[in-house]
Amino acid sequence: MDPVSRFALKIGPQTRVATAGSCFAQHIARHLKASGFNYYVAEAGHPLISEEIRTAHNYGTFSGRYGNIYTARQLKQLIERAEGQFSPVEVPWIDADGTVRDPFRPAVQPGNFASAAEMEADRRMHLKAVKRMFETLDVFVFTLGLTECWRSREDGAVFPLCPGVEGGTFDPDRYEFYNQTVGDVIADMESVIAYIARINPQAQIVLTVSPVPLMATAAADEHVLTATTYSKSVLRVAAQELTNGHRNVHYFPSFEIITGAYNRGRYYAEDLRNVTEEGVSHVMRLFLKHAASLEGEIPRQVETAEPNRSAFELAAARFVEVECDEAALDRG
Amino acid sequence: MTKRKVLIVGDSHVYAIKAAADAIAGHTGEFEFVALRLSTEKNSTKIGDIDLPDLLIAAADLRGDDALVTTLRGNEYNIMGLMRHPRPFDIMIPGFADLPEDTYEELIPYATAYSFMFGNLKRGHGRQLCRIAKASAAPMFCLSAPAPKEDEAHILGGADTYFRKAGIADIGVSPAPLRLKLWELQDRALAKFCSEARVTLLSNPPGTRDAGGYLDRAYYAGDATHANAAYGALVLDQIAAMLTN
Repeated sequence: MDPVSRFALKIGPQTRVATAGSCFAQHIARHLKASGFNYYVAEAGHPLISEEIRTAHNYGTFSGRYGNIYTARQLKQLIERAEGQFSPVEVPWIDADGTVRDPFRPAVQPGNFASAAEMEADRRMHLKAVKRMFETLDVFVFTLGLTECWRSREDGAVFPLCPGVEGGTFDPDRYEFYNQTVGDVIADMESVIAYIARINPQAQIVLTVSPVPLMATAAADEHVLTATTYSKSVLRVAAQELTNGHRNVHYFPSFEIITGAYNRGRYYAEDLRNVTEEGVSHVMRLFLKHAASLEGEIPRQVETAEPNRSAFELAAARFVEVECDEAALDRG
Repeated sequence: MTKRKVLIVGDSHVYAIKAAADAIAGHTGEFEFVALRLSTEKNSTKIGDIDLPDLLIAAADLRGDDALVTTLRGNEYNIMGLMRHPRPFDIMIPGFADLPEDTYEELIPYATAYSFMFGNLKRGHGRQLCRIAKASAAPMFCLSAPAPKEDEAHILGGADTYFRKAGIADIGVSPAPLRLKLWELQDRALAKFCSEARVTLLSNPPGTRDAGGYLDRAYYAGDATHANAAYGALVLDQIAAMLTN
């Protein structure tokens, strides 16, 4: 099944493709990396740290270490924060053990940050990397995931997760639920598109809608099934409007490939939410067919058991080893 | 009366202790200290005093009132940060000085650096340490590595010829506060590893660090990273005091 009828974007091996979005965007990132394309990571972590550890600490999960960006509002505010146009009043979240979370990416750092000062310094580096990413990418793939969000009553800052779920403390006087409308999503994404056009005029944008249904809804008097239909419908309509309105915005129908009745639901895993590898492969096969003119199997990612040591680390190790040998002489 | 045997084995940091142990060999006392460099092969040349299989046999021969002490993996922190990295970085640890933000390009989160350090310690020699501990009836101890040297000129001056030719002076040494933090990171990771392996970690002997936490100059060996025989003698005193108490 190939529902892609028009997709003008073309990418080559050198095209810098950056990703952001909800969980499904992680699959896109992973497959792009595995397919030999230039999956662009602007915040890769320090090369001194092994790739194994950096991956476990969410470097390279997306092109920036922002974690899941579920809503258009989150993306818009990320850009505003990177540009210094918005400084949310929300303070760092302190866990019971004294470790610290960034409210805007609370799960990004395994073990959390050691202090608020560290979190804030890391955030400054992160936002610089985000800015650099938008300035230098060729293609930005964004997966729209949700319309439901939690935001600060004080300044409207939107959180990826409800405060209290992974860090923070829920306080109804400080946080409120908000379910974005089509108008909201279009307005937020128009702002994002305008920003990218301003700082990186040649950049292309690919929008997808996550096929992963909601696990729960916070909308009053709504069942999760109707909430899911609302959310996905809003995002799908917004994606269409934005694609129709901009030559550099392209919609890729991963949502339809996964959710289409033609596959009899087999692209959903046992939990009926997550997408199977077979489904993701179908999406990526078609993406690469249309965007990169590639047919056939997507190459599998090569895993390495042992991290490769950088040239610097090898030199440093050699230095210490030689020093160690010299210690036999106890020159002191 | 048979002396209680203290078998001290490890990598290069053992040389300072070996020098101190050799100096008191044959003296009267409750303990017989034997310090050995665990053999390793470098550039097809074997260096060291004892292979792992022989060490396991020696460890098995120890009695319950003897002791086994290791200095393994003491230079991991220097591998990470003795030389100034081409992409300068800092790690923030509460209670330790931060580098000015305009002097480095990247912050490595503490938890990330710790995971990396812990993984490195656990691999290789860490596994050896567990095997040695299992082989012996004697209690096992692990020594914290000597604290780093603050004096950059000393480090550069003591660098090996090979690295002087390779341009270590141009590359430079990491700022002392960063090296101190890397040492702290190693020590914390080592403490966790020892706790999991049921090995007792022995901190640096009292009085061997200066007010800033660096190795006191009186205990510098001539090279970049190691302590001297005077330091080794204090380690022997520390071990003896602990076993006596």
